[in-house]
Amino acid sequence: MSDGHRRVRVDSVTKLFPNAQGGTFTALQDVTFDVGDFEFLSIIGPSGSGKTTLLRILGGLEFPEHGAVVIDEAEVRGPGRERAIVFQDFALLPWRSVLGNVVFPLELRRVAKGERDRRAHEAITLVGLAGFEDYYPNMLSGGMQQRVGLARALAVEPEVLLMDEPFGALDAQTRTVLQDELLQIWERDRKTVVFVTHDMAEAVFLSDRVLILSANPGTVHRVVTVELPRPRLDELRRTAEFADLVGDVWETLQTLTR
Amino acid sequence: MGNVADVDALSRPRARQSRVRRFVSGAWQRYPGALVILGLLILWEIAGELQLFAFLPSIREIVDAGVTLLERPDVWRSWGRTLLEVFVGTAIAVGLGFVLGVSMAQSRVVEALFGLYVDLFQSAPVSAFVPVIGLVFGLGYSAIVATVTIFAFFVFTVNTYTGVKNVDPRLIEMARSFGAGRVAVQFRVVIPAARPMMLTGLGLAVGRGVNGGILGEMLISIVGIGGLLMYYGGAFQEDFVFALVFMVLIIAVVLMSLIQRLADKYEERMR
Repeated sequence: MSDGHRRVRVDSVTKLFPNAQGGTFTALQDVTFDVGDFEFLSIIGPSGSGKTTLLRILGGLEFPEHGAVVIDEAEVRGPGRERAIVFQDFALLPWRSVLGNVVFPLELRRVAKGERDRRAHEAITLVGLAGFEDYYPNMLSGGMQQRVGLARALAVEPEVLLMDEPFGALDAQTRTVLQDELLQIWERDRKTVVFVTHDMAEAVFLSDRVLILSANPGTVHRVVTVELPRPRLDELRRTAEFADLVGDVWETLQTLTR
Repeated sequence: MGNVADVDALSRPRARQSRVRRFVSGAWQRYPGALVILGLLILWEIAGELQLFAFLPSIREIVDAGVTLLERPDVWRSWGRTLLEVFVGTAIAVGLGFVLGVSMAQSRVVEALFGLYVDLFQSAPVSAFVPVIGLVFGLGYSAIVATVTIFAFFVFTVNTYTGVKNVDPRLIEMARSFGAGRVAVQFRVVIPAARPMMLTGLGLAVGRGVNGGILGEMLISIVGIGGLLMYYGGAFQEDFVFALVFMVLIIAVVLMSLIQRLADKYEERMR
């Protein structure tokens, strides 16, 4: 498990969808990249660049027409125990409490009850929701609902955490707070993270590398390495280095949407 | 201080005066339907005592008839029979409707095979088929149970179908991403998500089931509460007819509201 170990390998993935005219639309074309062990990688791109499709392929919910995703030397053929997804729209079960939602994947994996509750409580505490175990999703704010989504993913103790615009539906302030907390959690218990976003500052603040996709079809346009020191705190957002990097990503995206 | 005392002195008689009004408006807000019924019953009683309409007994006569009925053990046995038929018939309808509703919502083939008929029977005059049910099932319990089933089946099926159809596909996807197979998706996502709609359907099914049961008893074998209704109707004892109808209404409303309360409890969380 050396630093250079490649946890996730995306190998010339091409994804086609049928279009309205009966032909096909190329969502992703020949996309190749690696994610290192314990690396935090963001994927950003204009709409239509297939970034969410790419994450779904990584999650095993969608399958490429050509190419493959390899995780830990095994080709992805469906959802797997070593991965967990945090969804953009939270995807919480409204009839289950916070605790019920967090234990849900553990029930599916037939984890014993005692162990299940212990892990769920641990994850709920980690995301700052201790005391809210018996609340139902409709009683919680969007930010708190996504904390539940994050706790649910952490409770299965995944090696690879897949996050699909997890903070996209939240207001700017809540988003910033959750970014900080996500990094704190990640510093304490490092995982390989693939994080899809459309927010450039978010991508730069969180990531070791930012993968920029171009649209129609989605291809890897450029990879920006973020050399900012860790742990990264809120103050970093107001430094010149941070602004320069966000500006760099911004200019690249500008050329893609023109 | 003087001001406070003045205000107090002024408000006290007003408060006393408005106590009746407050009771009425409180009851109005909490049970608006009950007040309408109360008003109707008063009008009915007046019309009945004045004998404005032929065959319209007064409320007093209906209550007397009701008390007489409640004192007769054979009436209790009739209730037992009718409720048992309704219970069994509705249970069968729910079992069948669950299977058909869930599979129609998830299989295009099943939907294509049965969808049209379920829709048709929703609005079909099922009562017309009741005598035919008697021909098929004979004159015993099974004919009445079958009538209840046919009355209750379609509404439960349609509600189940709609509930399952409207399950958020993102929740199914979430479950799949955490490793749920087909069975787990059904039992842990689809059915719980559709449960409020199914419970609403159950409430409606019980109402239709009571309706069907009594109709079956009237048209097929003259037993149970439907049989009593036929007997008193034929004897022009309208006070007994109305007393029975009110009992049926009360039981149906209690059953349906109990189920609806259960449904609301789930639905509260779903919003």
